[in-house]
Amino acid sequence: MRFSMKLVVLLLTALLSVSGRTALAETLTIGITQYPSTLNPNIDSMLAKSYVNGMTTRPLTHYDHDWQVTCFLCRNLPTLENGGAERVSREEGRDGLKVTFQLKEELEWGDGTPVTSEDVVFTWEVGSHPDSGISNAELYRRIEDITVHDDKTFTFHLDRVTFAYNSFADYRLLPAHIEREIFEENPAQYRNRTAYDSDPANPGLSLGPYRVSDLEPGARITLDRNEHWSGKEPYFDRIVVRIFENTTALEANLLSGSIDMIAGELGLSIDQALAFAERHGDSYDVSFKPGLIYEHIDLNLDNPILADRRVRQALLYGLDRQAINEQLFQGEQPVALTSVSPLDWVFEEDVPDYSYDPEKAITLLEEAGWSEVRDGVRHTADGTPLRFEIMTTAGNRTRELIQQVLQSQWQAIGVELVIRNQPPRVLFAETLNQREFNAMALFAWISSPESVPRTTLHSEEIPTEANGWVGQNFTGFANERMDDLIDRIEVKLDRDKRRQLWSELQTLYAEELPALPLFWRANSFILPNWLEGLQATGHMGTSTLWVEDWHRAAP
Amino acid sequence: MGAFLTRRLLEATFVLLAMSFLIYGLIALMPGDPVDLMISADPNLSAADAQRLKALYGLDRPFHERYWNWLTAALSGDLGYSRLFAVPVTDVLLPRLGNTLLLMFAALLVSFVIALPAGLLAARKPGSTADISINLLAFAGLSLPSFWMAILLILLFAVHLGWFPAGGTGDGSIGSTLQHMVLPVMALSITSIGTLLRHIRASVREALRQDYVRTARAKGLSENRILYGHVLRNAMIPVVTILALDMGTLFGGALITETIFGWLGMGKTIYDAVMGNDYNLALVGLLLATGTVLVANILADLVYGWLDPRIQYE
Amino acid sequence: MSQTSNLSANQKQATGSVGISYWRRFLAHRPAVLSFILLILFALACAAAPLFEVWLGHEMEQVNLLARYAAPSPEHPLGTDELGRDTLIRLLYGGRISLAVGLMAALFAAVIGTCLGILAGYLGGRLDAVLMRLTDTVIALPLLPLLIIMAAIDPTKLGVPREIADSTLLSFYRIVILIALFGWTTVARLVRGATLSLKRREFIIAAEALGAGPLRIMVRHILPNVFSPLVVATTLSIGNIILLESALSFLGLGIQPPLPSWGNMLTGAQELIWQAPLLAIWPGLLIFLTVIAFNFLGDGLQDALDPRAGISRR
Repeated sequence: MRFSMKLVVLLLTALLSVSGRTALAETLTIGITQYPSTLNPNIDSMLAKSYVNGMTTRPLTHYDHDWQVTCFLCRNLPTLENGGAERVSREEGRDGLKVTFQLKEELEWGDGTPVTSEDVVFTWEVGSHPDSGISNAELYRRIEDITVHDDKTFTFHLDRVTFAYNSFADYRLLPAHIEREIFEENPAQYRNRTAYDSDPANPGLSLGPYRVSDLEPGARITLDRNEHWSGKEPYFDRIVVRIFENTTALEANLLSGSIDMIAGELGLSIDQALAFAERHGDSYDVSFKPGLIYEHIDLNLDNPILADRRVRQALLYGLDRQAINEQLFQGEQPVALTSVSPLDWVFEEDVPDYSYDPEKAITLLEEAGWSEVRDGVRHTADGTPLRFEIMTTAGNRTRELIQQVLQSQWQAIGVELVIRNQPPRVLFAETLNQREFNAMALFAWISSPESVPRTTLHSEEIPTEANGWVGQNFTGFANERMDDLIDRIEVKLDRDKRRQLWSELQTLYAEELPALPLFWRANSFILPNWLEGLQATGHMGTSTLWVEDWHRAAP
Repeated sequence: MGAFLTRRLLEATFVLLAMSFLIYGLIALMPGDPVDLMISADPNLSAADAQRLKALYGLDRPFHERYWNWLTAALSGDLGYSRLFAVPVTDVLLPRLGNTLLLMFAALLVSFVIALPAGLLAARKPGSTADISINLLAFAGLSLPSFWMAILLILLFAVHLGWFPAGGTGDGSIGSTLQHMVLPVMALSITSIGTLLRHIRASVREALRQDYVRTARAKGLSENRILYGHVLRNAMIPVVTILALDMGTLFGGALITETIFGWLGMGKTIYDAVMGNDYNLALVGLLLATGTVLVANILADLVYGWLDPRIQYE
Repeated sequence: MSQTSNLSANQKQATGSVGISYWRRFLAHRPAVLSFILLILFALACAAAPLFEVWLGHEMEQVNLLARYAAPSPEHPLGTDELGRDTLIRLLYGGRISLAVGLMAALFAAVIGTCLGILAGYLGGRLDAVLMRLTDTVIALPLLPLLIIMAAIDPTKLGVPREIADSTLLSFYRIVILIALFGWTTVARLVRGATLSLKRREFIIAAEALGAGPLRIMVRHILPNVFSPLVVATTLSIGNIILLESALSFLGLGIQPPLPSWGNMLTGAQELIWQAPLLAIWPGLLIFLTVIAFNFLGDGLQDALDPRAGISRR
């Protein structure tokens, strides 16, 4: 009897100590909908990777919550004003820039190796190697050379003058002490052999508050504290990122408590999140934040009907975007005026206004010669119907929903819309690139703050067979003024003058309408009531870049 | 026996080779090659970059040459990398093959445990209410779209009752894996129960008509003795064949079930690979699945011989 | 269900009595008769879909954002979907597609299978060996993943002109062709078996003695005599084809929206299961009822036309 009592006491203490320990080890489990195809910060750009990388590595610089460039790895942001950056003339007579950075003194990789200029140089070597298959090769190519002054100080020599001279959000350092050997063995195979994928739990790969400790491809990535992190100590001991491509499962797992939150960057569609908020709004903290995700309709300007600007304008006048926003999205996805976000400092409010005005739309169509209405569809005098085909990514419910609304709203002004969708794998890999859509394509551009729309609007960026289908100007927009504005904005270092050019660019965009602006897509964050400190940025910088600020609310 | 095995293995190898050629050819017809995908991912790639990358990955070579290169590399053990997971395809596929086999065997087991007694019951009392209702249920099982079944299970057990998770593979512990398996196994079993039930019922009834049963009855052996001692063994022979032939179908069922429940198996991997333009993963995945099915067929043939010693392998 | 109407009893009855007409045997199979009536009703309702549009006052593609996820009401007997479209009308149009795919693919498969089966059975020799090995292999393959890959290819790369490749009905023809391409094996085997046994019958030998050419014998003498098993097998295959089509459409690789099919109407239903569980019920229920009806019909036809044949379905 006494023996068994002892046993009970023993068991109880054991139990208590176990539960005590679990209470101490704070874990946050996040659900997202996509698995990162690689964890190497410099290969492929993908939202899921940026999300995880936000916790495990840090960029040289990035945009903060106010959309201003700020240092993550550097001590002070080099500017022309503080002398960190300097305009220099280059041999061919074109000017370039010299930008000097100093890395934070205490910065270490997760295995204790100090982060040095050597890592910076190595990253540049990988990035600019022709066979490495790194994304953003352009970023590395515009750095002509790097001068190393000491372990922590180095200078980038840029081959051009650009206002974004100190923005290196995509310059993610690679650990030379681990990766150099792999890279030099076979640069063309580096993409596949990188330690980020072959040995992901190597602590030396980490440069953020957390390091990868375990992963199961397609299902889960477990992150533990990085002992060598020198910044603010994060609150959670462990963060588990679980992947559910299927949003039903994602939601069910949240409700059953298997995950604590659904990431806004990669979670429920606005439709689902609104419905979720209706049912469970009391038990969770559901919030919406419009991102730099520009939902719009690219118009193929080679289409003879769409080549007429009046038709493009009429189409936009004939759309009640405000009503769509209110009815479908409960006002959470603001109407876009142009491709520049209202959260951007260069945003221009005073551009031609296309508030819903069906009469004006009809007048414009009549002027353009679409005056004969037969069976509800406008025709020209020679019998051409005013009919367009619209494509979008099949399976994206929100877009399919918008399409249906477009169809019925445009019907009212005598425009017939035929829907023909393709799976994203076809639309993005082929149809858009090769400009195989014959009238309209509804999709989104994801951009960064003050991003110059060169690849989408400059006439040199129209993809053709001759240039190997390179470029993103899918509309085929060729406008000399636009080309000129883009060229000038890029090199204009003076903020006020640049602001002026940006304003002209937006006005021109709104007048010409190479694409029809629709909405700024909102991210839906579903968080537990007890989580504090998570702040959405509204740009492509994920909330995880500030993961060390997340914490449990004081009870 | 040895000669039989050799012949079957040779045949299987030939089928795999033919399949690899066919699928490789189909994949060449897919929208977007790897370089197209890189271009769409990085707007700043130049035309020269595109050309160079195509040459680097051998995409500018004619089809037969590419296939040959792939084949020789594959035979020497290099099956290439997955685009979606950035690791060698075998690293993705092998654990997932395990997951699929786990699911399939669990489903087969459940189906047998249910179909065998029910089939025997139906076969022993032809025309009884039990027989009719069992037969109706078998028909129903056969006619249920498995994906709909899966959705209904989610609706009932995950949404309404909250007993089981709506998807995922769990956190790796045995308890959690079992919990996550319940619904997919249920969804996958229903169709096979229907098929099995009908076959067991038919073949047991057929076996019961044989002469030796009459002899045994005349000898006064108990009905149970006859059933379990003689009939069952003979009745199992056609059932095993059907099962083996049905492996391909079962695999298709697993694909749907895995996709709906987010179970990380081969079927879902192949589907995701096709949808995500990860063609190498799709190719090797489908070959691995075919290989598995072919091996299952050969195994079934061997079991067949073990069940029926009269059969000679030639 | 009364005594005489059960499946097994009438099977026995049918084998016992020879003189009963096909029709009476069929009528005795009550589930088959009920199924037949159900299928006729479905077909009529689907054919009358435009009438329902007039009667209810909305068109299939008519969107109403103010009536999303509406509950059943006199105006919308089965409620509305996420775009406020009438569920009943979409189900009827979807039924047209699903039934048409089932019938057309089954017919094409039967034609291919019959030709190959008769050729193999009658001519024999190497052709027979090769064809039968091919059917064995095709039957064993994991069909669904293979179909997924085939459905995912870009038809323009096969030389199909873009206007055709881009047409809405492409997905319809593509799925019919793909299924027919793989669906002929069951019929081919069955027809071959029947041909083999017919070949040794007196009337064929007599015809050969009279100097009839092989083509004439195959068309005039063998074809009419394999008709019964052919009809049974084809009817049974329709159910399976509808299941396969709905699975492919559900996975996004079959019929492409906005063209509705019962399968693709379920694609989104899983995502909306919290908001609108009923949307997940209707299409699946119709698939289930249609498939089970075709299976019962096939079973009844088998009893009526070919009472001796055992269960020959997969």
